[in-house]
Amino acid sequence: MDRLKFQIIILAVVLSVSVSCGDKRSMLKTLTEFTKTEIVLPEDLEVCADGIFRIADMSTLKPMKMIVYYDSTECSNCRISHIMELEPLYRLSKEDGRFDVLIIFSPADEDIETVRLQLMYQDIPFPVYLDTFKTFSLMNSSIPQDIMFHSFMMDMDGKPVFVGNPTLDDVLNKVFEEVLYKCYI
Amino acid sequence: MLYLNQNISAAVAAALVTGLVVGLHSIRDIDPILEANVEALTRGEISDGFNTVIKLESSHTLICRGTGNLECKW
Repeated sequence: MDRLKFQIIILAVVLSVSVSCGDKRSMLKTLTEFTKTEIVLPEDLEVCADGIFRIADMSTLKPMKMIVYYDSTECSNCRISHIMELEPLYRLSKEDGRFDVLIIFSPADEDIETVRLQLMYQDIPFPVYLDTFKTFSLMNSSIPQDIMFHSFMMDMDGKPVFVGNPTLDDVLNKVFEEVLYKCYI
Repeated sequence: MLYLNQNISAAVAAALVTGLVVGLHSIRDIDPILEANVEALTRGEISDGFNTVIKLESSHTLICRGTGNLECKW
């Protein structure tokens, strides 16, 4: 009977380990697939800087870009209200000098006007991009739906090379530094 | 009982072999940086002592004060 109990315990341990590893493995698989895709920045993205909207000029940006993407499934108004949480990322970008940050909102059609007004009148000290014509979301349908993958770094070839916000965690920041170093050598 | 024992032994052996095969398969062709990226993203909850910062997603945080019944805000 003791042997039976022991075997059941072993089986339970093996199953629980395999389930927990499965989550990471599935994420790794998604990330690996994601890194094989190419992110396209359309020419009709609008940018709001100092409360004024204009068509963004991507040619003035650094080749490496950190994208923070809010698609139409997210509450854009809520995200804009808390947009200052991303200020450290901009600070890091300025201090580091090797990459630019693009916060891209792609709200639903019915929310576009509200988002525009909010971006214009909320005193945001950095540029924010608006996918007014849904071109970014249409051209980049390869971005996984999981919100975890909506903050990512793209390299000079437009390929995602890192996922996450490096300013939120030291370990993540270390990985981010490694990625930047690898991309620049 | 002996029959049940044999069945369970077989199940344990099968689970171990499956785990080994899946494990060996998954360590093949994996970029160590991507692996470190996933590892860092899935570290879970971080606490600074007073404010418990729960990482919900890669770019967003939820800050909770206190312990036990946490009062949380975005």
